[in-house]
Amino acid sequence: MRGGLTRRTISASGLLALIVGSAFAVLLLTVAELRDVERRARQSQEVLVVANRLERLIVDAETALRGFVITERADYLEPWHAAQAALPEQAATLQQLVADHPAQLTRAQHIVRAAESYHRDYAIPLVESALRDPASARTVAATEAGKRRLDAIRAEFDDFVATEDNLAEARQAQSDAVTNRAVAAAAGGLAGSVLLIVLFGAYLTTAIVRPVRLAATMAGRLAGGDLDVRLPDRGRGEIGLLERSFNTMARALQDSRRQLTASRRRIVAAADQARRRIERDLHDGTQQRLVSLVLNLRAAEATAPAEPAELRRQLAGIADGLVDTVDELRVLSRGIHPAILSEGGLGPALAALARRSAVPVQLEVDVPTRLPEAVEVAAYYVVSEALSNVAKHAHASSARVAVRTQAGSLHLSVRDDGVGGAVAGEGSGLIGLIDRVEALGGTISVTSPPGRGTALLAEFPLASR
Amino acid sequence: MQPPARPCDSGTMVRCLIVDDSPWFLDAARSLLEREGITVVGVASNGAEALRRTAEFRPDVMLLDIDLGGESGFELAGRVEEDERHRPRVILISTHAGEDYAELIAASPACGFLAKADLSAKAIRRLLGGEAT
Repeated sequence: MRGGLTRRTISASGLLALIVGSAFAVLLLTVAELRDVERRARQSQEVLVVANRLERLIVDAETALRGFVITERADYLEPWHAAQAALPEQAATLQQLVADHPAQLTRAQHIVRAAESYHRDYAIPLVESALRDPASARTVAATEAGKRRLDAIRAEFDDFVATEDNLAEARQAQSDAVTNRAVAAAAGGLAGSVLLIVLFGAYLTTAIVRPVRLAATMAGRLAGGDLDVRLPDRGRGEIGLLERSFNTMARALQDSRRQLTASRRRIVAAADQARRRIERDLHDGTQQRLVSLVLNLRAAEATAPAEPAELRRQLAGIADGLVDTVDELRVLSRGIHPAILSEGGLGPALAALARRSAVPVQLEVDVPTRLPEAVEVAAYYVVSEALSNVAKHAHASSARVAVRTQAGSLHLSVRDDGVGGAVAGEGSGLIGLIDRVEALGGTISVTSPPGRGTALLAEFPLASR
Repeated sequence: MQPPARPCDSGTMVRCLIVDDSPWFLDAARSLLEREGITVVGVASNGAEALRRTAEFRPDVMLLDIDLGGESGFELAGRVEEDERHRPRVILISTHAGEDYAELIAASPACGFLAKADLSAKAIRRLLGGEAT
């Protein structure tokens, strides 16, 4: 997805890898360069050693030659021979060592040529001449010539060595620069990496950890039944998707609950309407006809002849039977729907309930106006059921019913001084009322500690939600 | 419980208007009461008709059904009481039990209540305060 966390994470990781990788690449290059500089420094040392050795060989050869010419002793020629023999190898080594530096190579070749020339054009003829005529070799001219040649060679060596020293010095400077650069690269890479890791961590905390923690908290509240919770919809990428999905889910749950409540309310209202209609039909039809028949019978009874008395007794018996039937039907009809509730409202209806109660009831009603019909019906049935339970199970000597409207709600309580220990479960009849109460967005609860009576509390919101 | 708003007087000859929305009951009650010596001057099945008949026949007593279909008998009792032309005594009647309506009956200007099944000239006279004869 666009602006997704994956892309952001990969980008951030890539940047981090680039910086760390660059720092290490610079370090690697520097190390390679340092090794090269080191190798060159070592080579310079070798060059100086070989040059020194070569110079000593030439000087030794000259010294041995001088000794031989003066003493005429043949054993003085041995070092001379040895020096002569070792000379070509050292000369070759020197040239090889400076092969990559043309100026030094030229100087080395000069030295080698001078040494060869010294040997070929001066030393060998002088030895041969000394062997033939020792005195002729001991001339000042011969000695001077040798000294001159040697000085020239030494001067060349000095030049060569000085140049090599300069080279070594330059290489050392280069080595220091490279080392400094390596330290700077390492420090820069380290600082950059630390900075980037800190920034990356901060970004992860802000963009992922905190929103996820908040989502977890809100999900907990949602699971606990608080359907009003919403997440701030400002996250990016997958986090934003998570937040939007969470909010959609919470809204859907809330809608479902609203629909469920509305549906329950409609079902309860439909049932109430049906009961009211049945009660009306009974009242307007069957009850009126039965009562009319009673009156007709009484009229017939009044006009019946005194004899036989049996006829009058029969008519009176039928009338009394019909009156009993009318009474039974009235009780049945009131159970279906209490007409007094529609006519007089909650106060008179509860007063009638209290009068009929088997246990004496103290009634406190503070409801100044008529309430929504559904609330009146629900409150009536709750009190009716509660008083019926008091009479059946509580072994109470009295009960107290309090109903009042307060802060947009109807508060209802039914308390008795009975044995307590009631469970609002099966058999209490209250379970059937829970749907009715909750359909109106109300609550109902029962507290009944053993030996300390029972208290039923219910609350109904009066404004329709 | 409040006492009735005003005492019911007795009269030797009782002229009665019956107000009820059930035609069966009107027929049966009229037939019984007339047989028992009460003059039924008229019947009505709703409030407007009851007020008209009252002004027309000036009955001594009005038997008034609490539940007049869409209308309330208590409300009509109040209107009868307010009518200055003629004020009959009002006896409320119903198929419901009187104890259900005790508070409303007490608060109304009616002088008493009779269950429909208990209707008789004797009961009416007793409520009106006279001796049944």
